[in-house]
Amino acid sequence: MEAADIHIIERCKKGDSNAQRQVYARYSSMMFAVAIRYTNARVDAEDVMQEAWIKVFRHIKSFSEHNSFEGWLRRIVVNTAITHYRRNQKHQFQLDIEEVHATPNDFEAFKEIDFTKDELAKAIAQLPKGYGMVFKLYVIDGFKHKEIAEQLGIDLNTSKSQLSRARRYLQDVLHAMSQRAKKE
Amino acid sequence: MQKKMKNEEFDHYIQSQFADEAITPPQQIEGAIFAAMAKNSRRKKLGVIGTGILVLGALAYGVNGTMNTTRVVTETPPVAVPVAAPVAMPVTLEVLDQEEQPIQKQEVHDDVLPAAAAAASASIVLEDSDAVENARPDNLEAVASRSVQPVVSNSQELPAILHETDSEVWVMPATVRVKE
Repeated sequence: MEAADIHIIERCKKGDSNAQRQVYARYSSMMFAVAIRYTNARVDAEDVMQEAWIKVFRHIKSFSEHNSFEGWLRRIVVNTAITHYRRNQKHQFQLDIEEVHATPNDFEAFKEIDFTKDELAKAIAQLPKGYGMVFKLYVIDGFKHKEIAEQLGIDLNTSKSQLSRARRYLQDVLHAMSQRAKKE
Repeated sequence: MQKKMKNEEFDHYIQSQFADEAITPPQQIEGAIFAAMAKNSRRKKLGVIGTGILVLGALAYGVNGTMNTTRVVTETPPVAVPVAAPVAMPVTLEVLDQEEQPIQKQEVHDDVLPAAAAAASASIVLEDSDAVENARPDNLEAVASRSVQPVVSNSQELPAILHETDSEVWVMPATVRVKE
């Protein structure tokens, strides 16, 4: 971490609002992108974003300069998104995992086509909620199955099986997208 | 193994696509975040002030309570405190022992303080009947030189003299005759 970053973080720890605004200006785009990826809705992402930033400034004293500040921020926004997801989960009907159809195991089909980030994001957003959470936590944000199980309140094996099914589901979606693109 | 490699490859491909994700948030979010933080800060300060007031109030109440308690204690009736029974003092025993010891009168008279020895012998007179004659001063007038008449008993006349006064106080008249 650069000395300038450490200095800004130290000022944030002392409650300097100018330093807080500098940190916000620097990392808010990343935070908002993560929030959107987990909520799939802009309004919900704004709620998660606000909640996450308040947590950041409230707990910034616990941050150690030996760690990655961006990684720490990312963890906070992901955890906030998980809390938001679990809060809403109580009012939503969980999709039946058996609705996922068989998917091809050959990844070469879509590797030849260069998907844009938006296309990938749309494909991931189509995943059933349970699968989507596990997939995003494991593949994109680097959580371990044990952490995912703890965060989502599910069994370790459930996390593993949901990841496997999420992969197959996503491959199916991407395969369909690549077929459509070839036809066009 | 082949499939596992493919999974890892797929994961890496997805991860690389989201490595530098960034979406500019709406402007109003920043205002909302810092407004909420300012509100929390104010609430925190008010909480601290409130806690301080509560602590001061509790202290004042405690001090007042302590004073009231002290007053109540002062107003309570005195309690009879049992006094310890007097313990036999070993000093007394020593005095008794000393009294039992023979008094060395001669040594005191001859050697150290003749006047004090005389006083001591005078006090001893009361206790020692043998020393009464020795301690009598010379300048005293001999009582034996006066003729003392025995007191005449008027016991036969008393019943006639006794009478009751008006105030119902019984008076016994007495006649003292001094014969020279």
